[in-house]
Amino acid sequence: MNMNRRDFVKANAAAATAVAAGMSLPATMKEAKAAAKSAGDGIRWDKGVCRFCGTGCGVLVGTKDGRVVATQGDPDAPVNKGLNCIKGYFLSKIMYGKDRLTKPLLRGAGGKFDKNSDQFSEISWDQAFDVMAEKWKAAIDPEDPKGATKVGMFGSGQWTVWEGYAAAKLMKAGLRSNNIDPNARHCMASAVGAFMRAFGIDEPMGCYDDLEHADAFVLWGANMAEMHPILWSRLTNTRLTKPGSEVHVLSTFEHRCFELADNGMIFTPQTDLAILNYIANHIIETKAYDKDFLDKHVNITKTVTDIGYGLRPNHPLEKKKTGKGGKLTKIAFEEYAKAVSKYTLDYTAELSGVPKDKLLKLAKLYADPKKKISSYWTMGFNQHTRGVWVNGLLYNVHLLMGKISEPGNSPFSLTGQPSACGTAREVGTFAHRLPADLVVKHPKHRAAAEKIWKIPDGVIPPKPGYHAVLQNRMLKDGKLNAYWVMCTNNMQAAPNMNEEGLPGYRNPKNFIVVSDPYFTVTAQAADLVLPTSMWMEKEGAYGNAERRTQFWRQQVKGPGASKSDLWQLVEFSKRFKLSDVWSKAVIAKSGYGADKSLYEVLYANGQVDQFPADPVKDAAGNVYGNDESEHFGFYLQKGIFEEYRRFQFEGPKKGHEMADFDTYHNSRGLRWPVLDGKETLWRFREGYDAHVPKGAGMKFYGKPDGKANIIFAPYEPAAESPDKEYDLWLSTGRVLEHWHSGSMTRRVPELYRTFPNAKIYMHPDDAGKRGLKRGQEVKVQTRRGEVLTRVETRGRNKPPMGLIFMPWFDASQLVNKLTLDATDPLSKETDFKKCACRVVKA
Amino acid sequence: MATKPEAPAEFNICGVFVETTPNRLQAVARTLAETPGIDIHQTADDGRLVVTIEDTPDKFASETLTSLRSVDGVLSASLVYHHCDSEAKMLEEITS
Repeated sequence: MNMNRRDFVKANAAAATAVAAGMSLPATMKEAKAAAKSAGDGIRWDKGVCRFCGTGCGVLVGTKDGRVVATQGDPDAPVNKGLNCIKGYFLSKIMYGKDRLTKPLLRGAGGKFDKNSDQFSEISWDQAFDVMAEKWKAAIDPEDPKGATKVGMFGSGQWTVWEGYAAAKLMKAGLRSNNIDPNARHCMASAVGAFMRAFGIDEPMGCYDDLEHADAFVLWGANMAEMHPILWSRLTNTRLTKPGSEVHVLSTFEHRCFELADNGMIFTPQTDLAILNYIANHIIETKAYDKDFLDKHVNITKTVTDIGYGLRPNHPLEKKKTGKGGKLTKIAFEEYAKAVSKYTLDYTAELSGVPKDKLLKLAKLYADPKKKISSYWTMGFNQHTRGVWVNGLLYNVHLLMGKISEPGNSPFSLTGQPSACGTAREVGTFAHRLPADLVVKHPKHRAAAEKIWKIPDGVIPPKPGYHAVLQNRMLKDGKLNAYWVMCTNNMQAAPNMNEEGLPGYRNPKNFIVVSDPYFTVTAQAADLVLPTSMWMEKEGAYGNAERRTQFWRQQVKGPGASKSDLWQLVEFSKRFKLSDVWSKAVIAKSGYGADKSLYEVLYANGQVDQFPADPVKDAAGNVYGNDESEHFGFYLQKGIFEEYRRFQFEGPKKGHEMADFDTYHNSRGLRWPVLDGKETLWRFREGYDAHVPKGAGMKFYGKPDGKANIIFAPYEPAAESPDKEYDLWLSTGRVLEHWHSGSMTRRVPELYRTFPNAKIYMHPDDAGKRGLKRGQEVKVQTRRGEVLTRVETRGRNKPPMGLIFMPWFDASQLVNKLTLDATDPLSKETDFKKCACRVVKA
Repeated sequence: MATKPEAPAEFNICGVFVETTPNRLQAVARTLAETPGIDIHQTADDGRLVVTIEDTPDKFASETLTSLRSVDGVLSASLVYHHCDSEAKMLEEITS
C-alpha cells in the first residue's frame, strides 16, 4: 500500500481522535494505521505534561530526528482523557520560535559590562558567571546577622519541582537570603493565605473528580471556558447530561462562561465580599446550617479589619488605616450571626448591583442540603486587596453547610501556572516559606530544614524576605542590588511598571540577571541575559491544582548554549566558597572547611548526589538524554526529589507525602498525600484520607485541634475606585489564545495572526458616550501612565457600563504601566482587577 | 519586543473531536464537509464526529479549529492530535 506522509498522519490523527472520542475504528482506518505502523514513521512517543496552565493535562510527545514534531492528548491521563485545548496545538511550536536565545548576553559592547549601554554582546557561560559572582559577592557581607539582604531572586510557578527546590535551597541555605519569591505571588498567594488560615495546610481538599460528582457549579471570578478549557468541557458535560444540574457564574463582566450559565451575575467590583456574607446570612437566618458539623469540626473567628492596601507606607491610604495584620479572634456563633446580619438581600443587591432574585437563587442553592456544590475561582478572588478574606468567606459558606471534602462538595481554587502548586507552593519558593508547608519564622521549622540540609543552625534567616512587589520597591530604593529573575516575565507582569518595576531594574546600583528562552520585556531591561532550555529540553516535574505530581523525561536538546534553570542554579553555586557567604562562627559550627564550595555543601552533599547518572529508560526500553546527569556526573533530579521527600516524611507537618521518584516516571501522576502507594482524592474525610483516624469522621489535621476556621470579614472598598477624573474600572486578565505574558505563544505565527494585539473590551454605550467607534485607536490613562490600544465593543467579553477589560499578553501594549501596586496586606498579592482609568481618543 | 513571526514552510495536521446534538448532527456534518481543510472520518448518531483539519493556502489549521466554535450546533471542538512537519516531509512517499 502506497501513501504519502500526509495521508498517513491524517489516518493516525483520525485514529487517535476516535479513541479519545470513545468510538471504535472502522476497518479502513485500522488498515491504514497498520500500514503506517509497518512502514515506520520514526516518531518516538513518550508521556509528558502540558507547558501551560495549572490544569495539568497529560500530553504524549512525538519526537523525530531530535525535534518535537507531534503531540497528542494522552488517552491514559485522568485529567484530560485524551483531549487537549487549543493550546495543545502550540506545544510543539513554543520551543522553535525564531528568536530563541542561544548564548549569554551582557549589556555593553565587546563583552564589557556597561549599565548605560543599549546594546548587548555575546559572552560565554564562564564569563557570565564571573560577572554575576563578582556582583553577588560585592552585595554579600558574610558577617551580617540579617543574612544577604541585598541579594534576591524572582522565580516561577513554571519552574520544575527540582528547579524551585534548588533555587530555594541556594538562596536560603546557601546565600542566606529569604529574598526569593515566585511569580505565583501574583496569582496564588491569596489562596495560600486562606488555606493556611482556615485549614492550616495548603491546597484544595477536593480534586477534579468533583466535576462529575457535583450537582451544581458556581464560578467566582474564574473564566474557565477560556483559561481552563479542559476542566470547562468536563463541567459542561456534567451540566448537559445530569438532570437538575445547574451553573451559576459571577463576574464583574460577561464572558464566555455566561453562555452556559443558568444564573449569570455581574457584580460591582469588590462587592463579592458582601455577596458571600449575604449567603452566610441567608443560611443562618433560614437555619439551614449543619449544626453538628459546626460543633465538631469548626471554630468561629473574626479577623482584624481596616488593614490598608499594601501600598508604600507613605501612601495616604496606608496612613488612614486603623488595623494591621490578620490576627484571628474566636467569637460565639451568635456574634458571627450578628456580624453577617448586616448583609441583607436588599443591602447586598443595592451594593453589588445584582438583582435580588438572582442573589436569592444563589443563596438557596448553597443552603440546599441535598445539592452537592463545587465552587471554582482563580484571579477574581486572588488578585484582590482582600483576597485572603474573600477566599475565606467562601470557605465560611461551605463550612456552614458541611459541604466540603467529599465527592461533589468542593470549594476549589484553580491555578494558572503548570506548577504554581507543585513548585512555588509545595517546595516553598516564597519569601516566608520552606519545603512542605514550613515557614522561616518558626524555629522548629528552620531546625528541621537545617537538619535535612546538613547545615548548622542559624544559617536560614528567621525574617521573611522581600515579596514580589516589595522586591521591585527595594530595587528602586537601592536596597536590593544583585537580582536574578528566572522563568518569568515580571517586567511585563508586575504592577505599576512605570513607577516601580522599570526604575528598579535600571537603578545604577543594581545588577539584574534574567534567564529565559526568549528576549522578553524583562530580558530587555536586564544587565545579563542567560539562554534557557525549556519544557521537553530537560527532565521535569510539575504539580497541578488537584495535588497531582507529574514527571516527564528529557525528549530533545536545547538550542545552542542554552541550559536548564536547574543547571544554571547548581552550576552557579560552584562560584561561592563558604567564606564568601557564611560568618566565621557559623562555618566553625558547621564542621565544613571555609574553602568548601556551596556546590559541595548544597548539592554534592552525599544526599543529592547519591544516585548514579545511569541512562534514563522508559518501559519500552527507549533511552533518553539527561543533560544535567551528563554534566554533573550524578542523577541530580532524582537526588533533589528524594531529599525533598525527607521534608514530607521527617518534617514537623504531615499530609504532604509523595511516592518515590521512580514511581512518578512510571505513572500518570499521583495526588498527594500518597501513603503506601495510594493517592488521596478527598482530604480530611475518613474513608478517603488515611491521615484521618477511624471513627473521627472528619479531621482538619492541618490545625492542632483538628478544626477548620470560619473567619468573619466585612465588605471594605477597593483601593482605587472610579471618580470624576478617572471614571472607569480597569480590569486586566487573560485570553484563551495567549498564555500569560505571551512570551511563548506570541512567537507562534498562526496565534499571532489569530489574536495579534491586545484591545480594550468596552460597553457600546460607554464607547458612544465618548464618541468612540469599534476598532478606533484610543489612549487608556490612569494616574500612573497611559497605553495606546483599540476599542472592541463586541466579541467574547461584554463589560457592563463603567468597566473596561484589557488583556496583558501584549508586549507592545504594556497594561501594567496603568495598574496600581495595591496588594492584599495579608497575602501581598496585587489586585490587577481594580483601578480607576479613563479612555480618550488617541 | 516580540516581532511578527514569519510563517515557516510547515504543514499542520490536527485530529479533532467535535460534539453536537443528535438532531443537529446532519447539519453540522454538512457545514464541516464544506469547510476547506476539514475531512470527516467518522460520525456517531449521538452527535460525535471525528475530523481532521489541515492547513490550506489561506488558513492555518489552528484558525479553522478555533472557527469551529462559532459553527451553529457545535458544542465543543477538542484537539486530540497535532502534527507539524516541513511541507517537503509531508509529501514524502511512505511504502509498506
